[in-house]
Amino acid sequence: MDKIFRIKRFDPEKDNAARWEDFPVELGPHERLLDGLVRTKEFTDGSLTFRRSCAHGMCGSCAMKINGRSRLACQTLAGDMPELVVFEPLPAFPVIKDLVVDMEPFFEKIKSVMPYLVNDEPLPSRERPQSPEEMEKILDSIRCILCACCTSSCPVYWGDKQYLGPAALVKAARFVLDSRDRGGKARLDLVSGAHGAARCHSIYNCVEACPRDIDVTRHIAILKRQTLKRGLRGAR
Amino acid sequence: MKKTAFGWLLSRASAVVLVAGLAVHFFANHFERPDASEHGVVMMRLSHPGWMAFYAVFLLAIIYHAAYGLWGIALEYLKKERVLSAVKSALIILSAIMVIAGVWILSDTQMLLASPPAPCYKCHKAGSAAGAIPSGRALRIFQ
Amino acid sequence: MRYRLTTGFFAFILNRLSGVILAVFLIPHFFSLYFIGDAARYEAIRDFYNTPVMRFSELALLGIVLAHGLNGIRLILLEAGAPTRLQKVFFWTALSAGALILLISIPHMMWGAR
Repeated sequence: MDKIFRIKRFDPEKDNAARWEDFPVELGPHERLLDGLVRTKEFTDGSLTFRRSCAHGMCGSCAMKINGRSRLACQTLAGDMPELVVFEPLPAFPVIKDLVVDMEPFFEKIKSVMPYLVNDEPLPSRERPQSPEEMEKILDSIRCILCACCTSSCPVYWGDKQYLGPAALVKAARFVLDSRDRGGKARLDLVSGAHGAARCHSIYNCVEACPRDIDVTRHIAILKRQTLKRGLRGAR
Repeated sequence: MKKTAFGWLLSRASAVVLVAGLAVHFFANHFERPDASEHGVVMMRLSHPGWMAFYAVFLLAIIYHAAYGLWGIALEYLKKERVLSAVKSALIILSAIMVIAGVWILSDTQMLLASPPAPCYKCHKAGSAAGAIPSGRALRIFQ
Repeated sequence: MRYRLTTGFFAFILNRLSGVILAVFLIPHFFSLYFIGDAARYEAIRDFYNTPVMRFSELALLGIVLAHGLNGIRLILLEAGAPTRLQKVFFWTALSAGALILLISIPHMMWGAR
């Protein structure tokens, strides 16, 4: 199966602006696009730059915009793509080189929502147990691999770089919904500012982009409702 | 400070009011009868306190909803703090003007209704002697 | 290549545009009612709104209101907890319902007695 990889290239040491370059690539229908990228780098143009690590949809490194949509190159089968495959770096993040973007703004947002368990209660003898029902509540959101497909696909984030973005909000919801966590109030305050959950307009680009099939928008709606509940209850 | 999301709730609550209210408003002024938006008919409608209450709620809901929506757009696309605070002030002032204008319009209809004889545009247009010349505030100011 | 236009993205653009248009429309709408205390002026404005161009504009206004309002109901339902898998169904339902209401209203809005 012959494909044309049209890749948006940018080398800050040589280029003033991004340019397009076409590479013919031979791929079997069950091979992934990442295989094609790796082959191109190995045999055609060693200067081609992209991130990759596990190549099995677990690490989130190879997130990029492929045919107009944020996704993982390692999770996209060649057989599912047309002959022309267009590769671009993830939208909304500063490009470092070729398909590599600066993820720092993304991780800053994640860090800002207290992405860790908060619990000052004395430790039980072995662990903090959860019932299967309690675990069920976080089963969806704990699958996040921080690939930034969701945040980079969000039209609100394109315009508002202060917006926490879907990934950080899912991370906040993951702990708000965790039966062992006691930091819920503080976390709800962090996500309910002007550039927090209220900026989500239920566009669902994130849900369609998520390689882990997380129901992102539902989690943001949960945060909206929980914040409201907290306000109505008149909690401190 | 504790965040309450009341602003968000109000925008959704006003949205529900507006969906129902707009259906009533549009139907009453366009579909209910052929002369639904004629001056006399509108005045007759507004002589009912229920309609006045409806429009008072409708007015507040629509101004809040519009201001909240425009403020949301400003938050997303304007980066400079100073520009943003200028837009905020402008939106607050504009909303206040619109509410005052709305109250003014509603109160004007009540003044008109209170001044006998009841206004009758059709008679007035025909030049009939029986036709009363309506005298709302607008008339007094602009003539 | 720009980002692919999804159903939700399209609905969002539609909602933003219609929202801004409706907010701006409030100003001329209130202004024309400013003369409600003067029956003659009010009727003159009403005659102006009765011209074909203004009648068509009012029909367009109804379309914009329907788009914003019905999609708004969809968004509120989804935020209140309606399942994500229904978001596209909701959108096409809202759009068809709006188109249907608009279609039914055309004769009255364009040529109905006033």
